[in-house]
Amino acid sequence: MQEEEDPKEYRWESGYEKTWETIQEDESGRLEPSVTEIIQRTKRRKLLDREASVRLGIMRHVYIILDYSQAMTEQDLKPTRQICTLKILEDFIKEFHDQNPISQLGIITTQNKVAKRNSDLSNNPQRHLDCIKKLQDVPCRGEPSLQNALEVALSSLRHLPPHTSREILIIYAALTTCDPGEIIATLQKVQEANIRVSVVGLAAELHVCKDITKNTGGSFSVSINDLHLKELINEHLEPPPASTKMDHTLIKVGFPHQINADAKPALCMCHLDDLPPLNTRGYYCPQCTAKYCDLPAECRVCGLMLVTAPHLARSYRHLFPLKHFNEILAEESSAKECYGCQKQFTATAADKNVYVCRTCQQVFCFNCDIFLHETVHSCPGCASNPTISQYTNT
Amino acid sequence: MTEEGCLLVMVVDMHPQLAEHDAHTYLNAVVAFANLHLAANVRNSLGVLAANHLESRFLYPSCDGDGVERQRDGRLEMLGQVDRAIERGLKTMAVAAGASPMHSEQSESLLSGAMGRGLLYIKRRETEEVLTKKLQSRLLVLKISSDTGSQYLTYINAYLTAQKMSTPVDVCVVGGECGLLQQGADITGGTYHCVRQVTELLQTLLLMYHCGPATRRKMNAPPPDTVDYRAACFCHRTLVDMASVCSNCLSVYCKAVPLCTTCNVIFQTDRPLVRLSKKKK
Ligand SMILES: [Zn+2]
Ligand SMILES: [Zn+2]
Ligand SMILES: [Zn+2]
Ligand SMILES: [Zn+2]
Ligand SMILES: [Zn+2]
Repeated sequence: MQEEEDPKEYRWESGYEKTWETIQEDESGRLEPSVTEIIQRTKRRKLLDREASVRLGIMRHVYIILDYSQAMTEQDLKPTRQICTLKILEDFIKEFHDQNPISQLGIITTQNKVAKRNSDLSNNPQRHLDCIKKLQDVPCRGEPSLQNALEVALSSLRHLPPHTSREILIIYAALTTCDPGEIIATLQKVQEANIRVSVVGLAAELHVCKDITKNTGGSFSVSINDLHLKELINEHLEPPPASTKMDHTLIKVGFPHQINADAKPALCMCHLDDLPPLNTRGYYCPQCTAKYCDLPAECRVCGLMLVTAPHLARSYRHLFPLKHFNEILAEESSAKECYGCQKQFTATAADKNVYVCRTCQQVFCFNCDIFLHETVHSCPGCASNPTISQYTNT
Repeated sequence: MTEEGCLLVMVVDMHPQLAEHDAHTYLNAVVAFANLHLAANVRNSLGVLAANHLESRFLYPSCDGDGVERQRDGRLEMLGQVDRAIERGLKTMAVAAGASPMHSEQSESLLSGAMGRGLLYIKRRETEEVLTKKLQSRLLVLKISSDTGSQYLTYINAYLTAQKMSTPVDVCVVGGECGLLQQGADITGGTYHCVRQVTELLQTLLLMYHCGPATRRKMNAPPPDTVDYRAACFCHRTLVDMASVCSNCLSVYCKAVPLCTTCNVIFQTDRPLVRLSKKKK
């Protein structure tokens, strides 16, 4: 467990860089180039940091514990803490399933001293989105109970196979917790079950929350405003480094066929309860030919995990990250234009630096460098080189 | 005039296997389609990339060869430039390809690299023109070479990027079907079609690929085929229906293996696998 944080320093004292001191006017008296450069630096630093982690817990099981107490009705986030958080969670859920294809989410709320499981662990984003929608009409009342909420999460996370990464994300607004017993005992159990607990606070730092995260290897943060809150919650999109106690195993998955024309109309297994019209479009389990209208899903008949190849491929970017490019001065490079977007390198401040792929030696502009590392995750220069492209993909 | 312009980026396969088909007809179709696109709307713009087994190359707008950026007054002048740029680029590529002997494993063009560059070009044009108007853009891939699956990862990365940028990837394959490119068209909402003969190419391009996605929705096109969404296993690169997946890194194996060759973890093969297979019965 690495813990280099100074315990005496509070959240509101740290983490602020004095960016205003580094902003300087250029010769023509403009601030803009200086500001652009700071933004560029931060972006690149973030990318460099990310490359360090190697082993990831990609099969994630995450419970979101949402504080639904009186404290959520405060209006310091607009329109209220409740609505603002739900809105952020909506985007989070969509993005989470996009980036973590065979992971599962669940939602627990706590109010009036009890905790309630609103949505079971599942990899169907629609179910969670429906749950979020329903929660919008539920009023926030009473006091929350951290212990009860943790117990609910624990009861279902504990029985998961040992190769999964178990996580709890607590979004907490209250400054108190109303527990039936000693919370320390619950924390002990959480720790033993190898669950990683992270807390995002809406109001202030709570000692008990900070303790939980510290003991389970999670992260702790308190938001300043709505944008910051979104950023903090979205940090949990990336899989955490796998804990050492985790076992690894082979999971059986099926790649369903999508049949349109010659199949007989059938009910899809995912919407059995609300009796959808019979149709032929869908995905068919390769083991038992049950039909599903959307993937990923876990086959209700035979228990096979059903995914498509692109679903899995979404995670490969965690696995084969694009190595960061070397930054060199534009005049040191012989290239006249960006290899990717064909932008001509001019002598302006924006093109002061160019970026060279360490594998294929092609030169890219700043925008392409960021875009390749943030979104594309593979280098078109390497893909256009017959020797490298054969070698990297096998 | 109210219609907004469209940026079409063509990725043209120039693999030596083209010799098996009628190269002349093929190139004529490419150039004719490029010209038609530019002539159809004053605001339309074009990018052309070519790829063979050795490289990918920007043909238009080309950076070598002067005079390309200078004269832009007449439309005909521009069309002439497109023709000349494509011709010049292809000649250079053909000379380079002829100079080096082809290995048997290089039976596929480096299309994924060209697609990646095309997407970066689209991205730049979109950010440049975001202030004046919303630029509609799409990618058109013409493929003739065979399919080996060796570029799987870069293809998928390109599709997911295109999907994020909401840029449709249209695919027209000459000769045999290509499942991997079909996936790309399906993911990004583009059109996939396979023509048997090169002689059908121009007609197909004009009928199915000239209009934008909005118009296509109104056309009575044949229903999309079944898309093959199987994955290739990491060990043999064959497509599989059911597979074992490493819980740590999601590598795909067609049969049980004692350790993952991608991330080097050793598998606890006793419990979970047995439980799952019992459930099957
Ligand atoms: Zn099944
Ligand atoms: Zn660039
Ligand atoms: Zn490279
Ligand atoms: Zn295999
Ligand atoms: Zn692995």
